Amino acid sequence: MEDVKNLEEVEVERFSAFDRFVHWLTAIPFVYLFLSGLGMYSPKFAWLLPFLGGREFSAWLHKWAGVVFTIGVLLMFLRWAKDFVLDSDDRIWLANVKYYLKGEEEKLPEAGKYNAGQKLFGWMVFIGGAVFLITGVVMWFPETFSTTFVRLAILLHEITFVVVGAGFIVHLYMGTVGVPGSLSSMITGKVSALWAASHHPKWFREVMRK
Amino acid sequence: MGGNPAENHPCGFKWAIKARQEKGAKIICVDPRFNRTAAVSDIFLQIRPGSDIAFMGGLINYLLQNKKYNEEYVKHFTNAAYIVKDTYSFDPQTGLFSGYDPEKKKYDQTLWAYELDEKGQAKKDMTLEDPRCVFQLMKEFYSRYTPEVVEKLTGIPKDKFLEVAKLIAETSAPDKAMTHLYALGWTHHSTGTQLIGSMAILQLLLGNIGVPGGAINALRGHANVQGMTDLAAESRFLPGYLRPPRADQQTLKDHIEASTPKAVDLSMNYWSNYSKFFISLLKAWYGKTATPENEFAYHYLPKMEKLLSLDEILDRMYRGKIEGLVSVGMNILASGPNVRKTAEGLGKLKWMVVIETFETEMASFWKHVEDPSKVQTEVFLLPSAIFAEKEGSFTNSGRVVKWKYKAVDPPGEAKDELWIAGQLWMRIKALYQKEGGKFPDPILNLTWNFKNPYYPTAEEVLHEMNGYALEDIVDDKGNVVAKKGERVPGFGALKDDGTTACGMWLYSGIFPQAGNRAKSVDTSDPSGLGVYPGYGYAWPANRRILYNRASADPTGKPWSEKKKYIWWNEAEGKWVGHDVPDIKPDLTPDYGPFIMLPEGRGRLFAAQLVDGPFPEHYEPFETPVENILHPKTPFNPVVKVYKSDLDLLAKPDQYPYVATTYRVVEHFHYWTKHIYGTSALFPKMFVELPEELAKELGIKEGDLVKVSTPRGSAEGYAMPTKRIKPLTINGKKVYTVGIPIHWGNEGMVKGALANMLTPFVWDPNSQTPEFKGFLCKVEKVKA
Amino acid sequence: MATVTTEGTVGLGLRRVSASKSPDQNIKKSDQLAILVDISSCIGCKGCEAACSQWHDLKPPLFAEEKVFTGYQSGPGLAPSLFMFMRFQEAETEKGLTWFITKYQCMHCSDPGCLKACPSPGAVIQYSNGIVDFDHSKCIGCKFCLSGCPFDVPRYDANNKPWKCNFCVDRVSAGLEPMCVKTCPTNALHFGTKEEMLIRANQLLQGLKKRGFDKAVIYDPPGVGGTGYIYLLPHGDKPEMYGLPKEASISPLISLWKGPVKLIGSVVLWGTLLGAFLQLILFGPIKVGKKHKKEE
Repeated sequence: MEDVKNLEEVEVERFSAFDRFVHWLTAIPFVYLFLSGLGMYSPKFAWLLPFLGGREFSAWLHKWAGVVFTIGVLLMFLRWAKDFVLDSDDRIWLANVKYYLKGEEEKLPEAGKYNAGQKLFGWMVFIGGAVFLITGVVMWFPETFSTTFVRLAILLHEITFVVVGAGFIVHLYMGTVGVPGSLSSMITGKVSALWAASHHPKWFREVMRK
Repeated sequence: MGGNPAENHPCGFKWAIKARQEKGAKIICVDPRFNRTAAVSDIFLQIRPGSDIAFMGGLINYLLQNKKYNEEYVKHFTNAAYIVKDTYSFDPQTGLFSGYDPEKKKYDQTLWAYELDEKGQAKKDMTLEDPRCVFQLMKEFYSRYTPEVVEKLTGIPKDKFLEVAKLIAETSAPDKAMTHLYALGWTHHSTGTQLIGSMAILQLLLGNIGVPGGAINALRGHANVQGMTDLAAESRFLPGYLRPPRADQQTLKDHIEASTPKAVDLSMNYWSNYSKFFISLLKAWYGKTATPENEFAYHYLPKMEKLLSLDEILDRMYRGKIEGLVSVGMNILASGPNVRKTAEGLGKLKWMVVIETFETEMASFWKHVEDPSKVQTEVFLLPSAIFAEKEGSFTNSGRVVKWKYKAVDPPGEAKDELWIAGQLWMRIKALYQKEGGKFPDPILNLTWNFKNPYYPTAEEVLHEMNGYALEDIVDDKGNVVAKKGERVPGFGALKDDGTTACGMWLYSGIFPQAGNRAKSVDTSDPSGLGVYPGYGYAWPANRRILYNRASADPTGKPWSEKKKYIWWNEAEGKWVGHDVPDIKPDLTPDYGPFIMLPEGRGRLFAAQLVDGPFPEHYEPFETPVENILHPKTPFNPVVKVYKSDLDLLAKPDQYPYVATTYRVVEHFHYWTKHIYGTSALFPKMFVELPEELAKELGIKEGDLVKVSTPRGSAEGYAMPTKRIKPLTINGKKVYTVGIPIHWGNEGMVKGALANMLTPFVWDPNSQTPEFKGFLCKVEKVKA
Repeated sequence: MATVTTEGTVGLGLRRVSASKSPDQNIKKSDQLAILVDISSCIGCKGCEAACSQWHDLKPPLFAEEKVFTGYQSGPGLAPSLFMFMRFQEAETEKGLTWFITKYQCMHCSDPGCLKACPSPGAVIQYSNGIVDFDHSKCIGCKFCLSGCPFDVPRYDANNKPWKCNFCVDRVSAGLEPMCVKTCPTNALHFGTKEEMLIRANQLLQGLKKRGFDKAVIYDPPGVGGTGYIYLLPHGDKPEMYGLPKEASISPLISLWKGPVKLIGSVVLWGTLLGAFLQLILFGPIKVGKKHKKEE
């Protein structure tokens, strides 16, 4: 570990260009979906809709943004599903998530490329995306389905929105303010070696070994 | 019975609903189909098309056997007591009345006359016991119509029949009444007139004619069919039901003598005024040219050798004997029977003028001709205004004439028919003036006193119909009732000396000097009986109930307080009440109430009908079953049929199902399919058939099916329904198939013409085709 | 909640507004209006259907060429350009063969499911006289009103706007009766205040019972707080034969999504945000691990 001193200057590639593309392909529509959905979900946020192109337009774009989002989620799933399999360390990690929040990462099992929280959010997106897709299609064409089915779909869409929405807030926070240095991984694709060694030591070692 | 008032007369039907809601009336519907009238009726009976007389005969028999008739009414107000000559007889074995000539297919009706005494008065037996009196003859005649026979003929179960019979019989009570609504469901039979006669008998027995809430109401199929009939749109009448001269009436005297009946009892015998009405009509037509010296120009009128009714015209046309045709407001190709025959006939004309609102099937008849390339007919289609685009009047089923105003201008080149008539007339007259011709006098001398002779107004025509005085008119008391040039106050003022002119005596009084009474809209009901004397004008003489003298008993007292309408005021010595009395006001109660008849009494026995004095059940001309009453004479023996190559008839082995045609409320004849809104309400031609039959034929709802007869075929979407059930007729299962009219090859929505199927068979009295009850077969169209 | 200040399109007071607080009911008051459909007097002539389309300037679908065949009905049912239609159904009952003929359109519920389900403030409004109407300028085309409606009424056009009977609010607010009522030839349709209509319905009901229709009822489903269209059903035990749901009420699923889910959702989302914020101020960002720092 003689290079430790230089760790801050060393950059490690965390996400390839394709990874980043897929991420933003999903994230940009999602932000739109989240905000317009929020505007439709709660009249208190109806004021958001004019900023998103107007009430009618945002309701319309919500559907198409959903289509793009679905494509993004699908690619993500193909790309990351196998990486997001939770192992026994992850379970311990999750049980002791409070140390992570306190910034006492060393008390947790060492994380690989993705920590358990990230994996969990991944699954939230995969499952949520599927539910959004199915219920969204039903809501898009309500005349084609039985009324009860449509009503159920709306309910599920909303519940999923709450769950994924909460996850999104966490993700957004962690990716920016919560964990400094993370954002660059989705911009340039690179993180500092120090960041990597600190938050994802297992992965960092794997990278170093190469 | 014989009508579907909820569907075809919905605005009038509201009164039936109201009567039930407010007075507890019962609505009974007897029809081959459970239609929309049945849907709101209290009782529905499904009857086999063409078996209605059997049902009516059963009812008459029920009344007579159970003494459920109004005896006083029957004795004094009907011809029940009259003795009939012994030359009349009826043979129940052959089903024929006396005097039948099988060669000519005609009866000698003189054999059915009354016995007259030396004064020319009918002999009567007021005990009604003489075996030769009408009552006894009728009783014997209808004794064959037991509930069992009714069930075998109509398919109506005996208990159902008796339930209805009992209900109807209750209206023989003086404080109860039944009204009967019928329409084309009864007239469209080879025995149509007899059918209505059977109801007249029933209502007379029950004492339901001339009383409030009673009568037989013919529901007219168009807003102004009544007006059209009143104004002689049929060749057997002149305006006001006067008679057209016949070939054997070469002089006016002959004609008047033959047309004026002689009273055979104490009767006002109103037709004794025939000469006044007829001569006033001649004066209206020919004005100054009509003088006593030239028999009021009687020689201008054509003398008929033979009645030229619609059937005769269509047949002659088919035989190529007619050169040209002017058709105004009539789509005879679509609405007459056997479309192919009519189409071929139209194709043999040299020219045809069609005056119509839309381009009808009539105008494009060549599409139905077998070889259109051979059609030489030149067709002139003159677009005409629809009712809201011109002024005029409607005469409704209740004889109320109501003025209507023009709402909008007709579109494009469409014109009011009065304009078309004016233009045509003036041009024809000019041609006769110029070229002379064989007999120009009737044309050149015709009265045509209109401000604008090229476009007479409707009110100018009404003026002529109402009649006007040519000299000062004085009544029997010496009072001047109309000064020279003024309109007459009513037909009572008409004279037969040429001092009055009147184009239509029945309407006389509608437009007195004071103004047009058809325009009055007073909705007050002073009696509370729903009479509304100030609303429009009801012919004759603004009478709302015809023969209303019958609403009082033979002594002139009301039958009941509840039904008090017209009664005899002993003190004043005249008839008074809530309506204009339908009798001379000071004529004593011993005069009969039926003032238009020489008997003064209603006819239970009507020798005037060409197919028998009593209505007898005959099968429709095409029938799936034998006539169990008299198999040797299955159908009306004097029915009018023709023998051309297209007059094909169906046999039950090939064409096993009974078909009937009808209308639906969404459409008005062949008109409304030209209009989007109504087309959308019922866009598709359909065929209604019993579920059982559909199953048998493997037909599902919405399948395209083909109904065919030897005349032609019609395709429509199958509508299997519970509303038509298979009937058991004398042990045989009989299916009824319902075929709506309304569709055709022109218009916004198209479909088959129902009349491709119907037979060219006609009622010999009214010359009405038999659309209800013919044979057909049904097949699924392979997709 | 957002407050909608508009008085709707015709200047009537409002009772309820979708996704908004209800306006003060004391300012503009009016009687609850109702149409009574007396099925026992209805002959199914479709006069109301034609008049409705004519008044509203609609061109209803013309099912002439299509392969659908719907018997006596003008078509399969409501459409954006068909605000009401006559439903026909035949069945054997204890009274013999019965033809169930029903005028079908928006019921104008007192508690309208469409209004409840609508997420867009002011797109569905209920006037103070009870008429439920759509304001297309505020509609976002989400079709939630379809799921909200217990009677399957709203129909969407190609522009994604819903249409339905508006009780001829234009006529009614000008003092005229709705067009269908005006047209009805047999007086099967009655129009007035709900109170009057219930009195009349009860009178007619007595008449029907006297005629032997002992199961006759007045259909005014309490599940939606009563309706602006009330029906006199001769066969009251079989409302479904008339095409009317036996128990009409707003689906519990909708109540769930409009009630608890909204509340829980707010708590969860705001809670998450709050949690993140707390983490930030209590523990600070999760920076690079201490272990590495020491080595440094």
